[in-house]
Amino acid sequence: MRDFRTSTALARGLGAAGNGTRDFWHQRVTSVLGVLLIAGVLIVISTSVGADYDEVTNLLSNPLAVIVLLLALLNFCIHMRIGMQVVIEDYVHGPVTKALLLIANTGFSAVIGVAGAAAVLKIAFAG
Amino acid sequence: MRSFLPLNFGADTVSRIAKGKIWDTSTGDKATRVLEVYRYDPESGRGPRLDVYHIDRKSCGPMVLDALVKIKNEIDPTLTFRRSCREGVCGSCSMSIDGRNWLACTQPIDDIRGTIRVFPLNHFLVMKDLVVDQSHVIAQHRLIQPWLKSETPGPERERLQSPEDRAKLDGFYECILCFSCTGGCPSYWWNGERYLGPAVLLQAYRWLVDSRDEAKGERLDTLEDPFRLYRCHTIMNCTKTCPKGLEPAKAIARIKAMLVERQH
Ligand code: SF4
Ligand code: FES
Repeated sequence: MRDFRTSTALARGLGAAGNGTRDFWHQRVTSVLGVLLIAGVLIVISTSVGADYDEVTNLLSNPLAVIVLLLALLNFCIHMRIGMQVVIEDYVHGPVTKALLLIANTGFSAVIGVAGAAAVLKIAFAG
Repeated sequence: MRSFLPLNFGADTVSRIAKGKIWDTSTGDKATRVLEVYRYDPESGRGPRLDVYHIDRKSCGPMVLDALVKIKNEIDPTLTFRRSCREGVCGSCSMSIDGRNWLACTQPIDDIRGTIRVFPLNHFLVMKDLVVDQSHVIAQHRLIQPWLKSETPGPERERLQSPEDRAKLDGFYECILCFSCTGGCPSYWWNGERYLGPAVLLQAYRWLVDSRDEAKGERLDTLEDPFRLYRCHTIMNCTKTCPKGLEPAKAIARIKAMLVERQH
């Protein structure tokens, strides 16, 4: 089919969506916070090097460790979701495939986050 | 900056570049330079080809554009390309030279070692030989309304601007719309229908930062879009390939900063 739309119509497209800034900003915020949180996670891991099972579960039930781990999970799941979304929008152009992948991306990030949080909480409260 | 990939890697069948004619005008002289030039004639019904020309550097001007003009005048009058000012101010002669988008009229022949490979500007659809179709990117430029917008009635004489505010336009007003940057941007390759690309965004910033303009909010509204603006992933090819030494990537980063600023 020949396309008779004018170049002005093509350039205007569906207009400006009026968003994108929030994701852009959240990606920057989670990058900066991520650096701090990774430091916290590394401290938690390094303190448990060489420790036996009981010592590790003990350490992981320390409220401070739990908070650091849960925050890191939340932070990186948000960061991962936005990052993956950008990749999908960049390279996937079929509307249906794109929608399905965007849904899968959100689902995946949520599952990883919740599963991780459940694991941390289980160790913290049930050992 | 030659690509390590073979010439036709991943190219559509219709776009595959065949070996072309060798215009053997070589005199065996040491001053002979060899050019491989992309040729495509939509009316021929055939795909593109790479023609080889020999030119005598001694009787040719210093720039790649001089070599192309010499080829057109003396060897092959069918070679088609755009040029006007031949001194880097009109932006018509941008093309891919030795693997980089640049102006043929400001690219010295002697800075290129070996065979000089000349292709049309990356990414754009080819109309003929080195001439590409820029209608989409020109329409995108029109979209950002590249003119002063002011509701306050104009003064009798010029609209005043302090020297400091005028200085804010430096590095942005000099753009000659050659689209070397846009053609060199991978994000524009994947999403050029919607992404405005570095040249247009640099122009958008040029008006956003102009103290005399009254339409900043409106301008930002036009740009605030995941595709129009946020496809820029700071790849920086634009800055590398701008023959005027401008920094579209910096302009885009500043637009993003403005949008964040108005949120908080
Ligand atoms: S920013 Fe530079 S490369 Fe891009 S269009 Fe303007 S002059 Fe050409
Ligand atoms: S001919 Fe004008 S920029 Fe090269």
